[in-house]
Amino acid sequence: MSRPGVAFGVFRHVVLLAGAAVMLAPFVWMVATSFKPPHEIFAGELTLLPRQWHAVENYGQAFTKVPMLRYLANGVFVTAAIFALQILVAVPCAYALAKLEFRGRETIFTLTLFGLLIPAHVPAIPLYVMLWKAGLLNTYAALVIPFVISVFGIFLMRQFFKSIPDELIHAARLDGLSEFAIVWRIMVPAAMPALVSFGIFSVVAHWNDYFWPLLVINSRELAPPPLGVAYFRNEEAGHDFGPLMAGAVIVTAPLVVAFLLAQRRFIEGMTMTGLKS
Amino acid sequence: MSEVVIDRVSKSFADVRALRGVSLGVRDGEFMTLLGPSGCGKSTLLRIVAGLEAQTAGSVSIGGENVDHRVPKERDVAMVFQSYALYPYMTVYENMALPLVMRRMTPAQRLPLVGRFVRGSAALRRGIDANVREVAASLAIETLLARKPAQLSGGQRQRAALGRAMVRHPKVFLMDEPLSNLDAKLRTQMRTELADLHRRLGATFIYVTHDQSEAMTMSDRVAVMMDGELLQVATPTSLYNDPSDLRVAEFVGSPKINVVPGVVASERTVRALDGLVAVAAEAPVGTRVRLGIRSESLTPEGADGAATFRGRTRHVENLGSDCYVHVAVDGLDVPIVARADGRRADEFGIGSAIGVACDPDRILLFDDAGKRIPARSAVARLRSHG
Repeated sequence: MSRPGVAFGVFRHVVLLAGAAVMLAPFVWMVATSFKPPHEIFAGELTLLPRQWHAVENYGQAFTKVPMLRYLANGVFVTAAIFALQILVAVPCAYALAKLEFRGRETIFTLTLFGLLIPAHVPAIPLYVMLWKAGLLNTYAALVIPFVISVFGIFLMRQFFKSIPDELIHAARLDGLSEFAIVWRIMVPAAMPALVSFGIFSVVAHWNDYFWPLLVINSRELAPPPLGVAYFRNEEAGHDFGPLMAGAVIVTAPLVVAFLLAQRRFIEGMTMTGLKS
Repeated sequence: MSEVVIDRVSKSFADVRALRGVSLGVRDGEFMTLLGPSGCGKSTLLRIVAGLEAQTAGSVSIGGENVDHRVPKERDVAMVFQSYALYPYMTVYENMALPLVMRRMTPAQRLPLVGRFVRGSAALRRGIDANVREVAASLAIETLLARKPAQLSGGQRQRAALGRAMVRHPKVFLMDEPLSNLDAKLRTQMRTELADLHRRLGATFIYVTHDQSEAMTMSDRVAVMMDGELLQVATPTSLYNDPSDLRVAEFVGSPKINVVPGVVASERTVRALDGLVAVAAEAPVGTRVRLGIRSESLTPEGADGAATFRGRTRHVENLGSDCYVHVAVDGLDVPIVARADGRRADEFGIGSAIGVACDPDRILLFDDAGKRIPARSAVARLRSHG
């Protein structure tokens, strides 16, 4: 490789490393703080590793002072329920929009695209009022129902289904599969990469959601993890940042672990390597 | 019985008329090919027969029963697609078994895991297994049953797709350009295999292609379609020798038929370019006609002989057994192609003057609109002019 090439390579990596450092620094600091005793957190000097390890106390408090496991379980249940129901709605909708011919299909698809443009916070108050009228405030249902129809999911799956050849569907119809069987037995297996990447988007968004649970949940036992951490800060921890950061680590860890496990599938989904006949 | 009757079927998309009142009867056990250029409506017609698309007007019956309101599954037809359309996440075995599973087993028996405990499902599975293996053996793909389509070559995928169609013994096989994705050598081999398969199964085949050589080599009869209309339905032999329309004559046969403009000169002759040809056209003297002359009816010879056409050699295609001499003739935009024995290929120097003799008995006459004009059996006499 020529010298300018090497120089550019070094430069490129320096820029990328700097970017990565900026992204990672808060997380590193969060993890470091979760290991420190209070007097070190407020000390004048910056140190990465604690002089006196306080991890057991901090994490112990995070688990005992608030029902952290309960929050995590809530998070798992709510995100899983949301994702399962989203698939149940989005996949047949996407199939209809991609492969079935009916009057008004393009209009409906255009409206779906409009749906993508509306920020989640805009319909928050009408949704709140509706849930209140239905008597569902402060239930799991209030956390799940507003997200069951994912416009993004419909759009993503529709785009992927478009790339699946019609002949496959024709063959399935001749083989005697019903339209529902075509959706679940033919289209879904072929669209696995798209489904996985949608799953990651969905789970990340709803695991981390703070805004909506804050509106509709009052009881602590229903709180998903981010809300749980917030309770912790307000009432239990005061200025005790060690246990608070321990809580934040606990809440973030499942997503990081899940990402590392699914990394290959995730990147596959992002690049959308579809099926080639 | 499994004859297919297509009765005045029309199909319009938004503003395009893809089919304009097509009527076609396919006999029981016949190999019928729908031949035409892409966009002529042949695939649309096939999908209408399969029930995958609804016609705008007209009706389809299979085995004497009207099937217009039946879904594809109830029409007892199987289809083989150009892209094979094998289910990519299933093995060849699962691909072939699926049509039987969907037909023979109840929804409860089909359930994964639980299904095997439902009454009768084991016996059904065994029956399906036997059928799949029997068909796989007849196509020589038993060893591929455990593979996924992505692990197969083009020819193997083609066989697996055929197997999926054959396994439930349908009344009618519909094939939509099934050989187009294969390489040339394999395509020729599969033509023979398909024709064999048709004889063996004795089922009705409707085969769609744009390749006239596939149509000529496999079919009992060929239906030539253009612009959503049926031009002619005939055996390959009469399609080639007795086309009813200039477009049919041009589409069938390779190399393409030579077309020379002419005028009826007398009761017995037609003037073509500067030559006089002994063809007795059933048309008044002075009628403008077009002469369709196959290259094998033309023989290249010396420029000084009693040649019908004269020109200069533009190109010689030597195929070994035959050679085709392209002759540039004054007054024609495209060269005339004449056939000679392959051993003569070296006789023709590019650019040299050449004459072309014509067998008047085999000239096909068409009117200005391209419709065939009958010719009375002509006196086999050739006369040169000037």
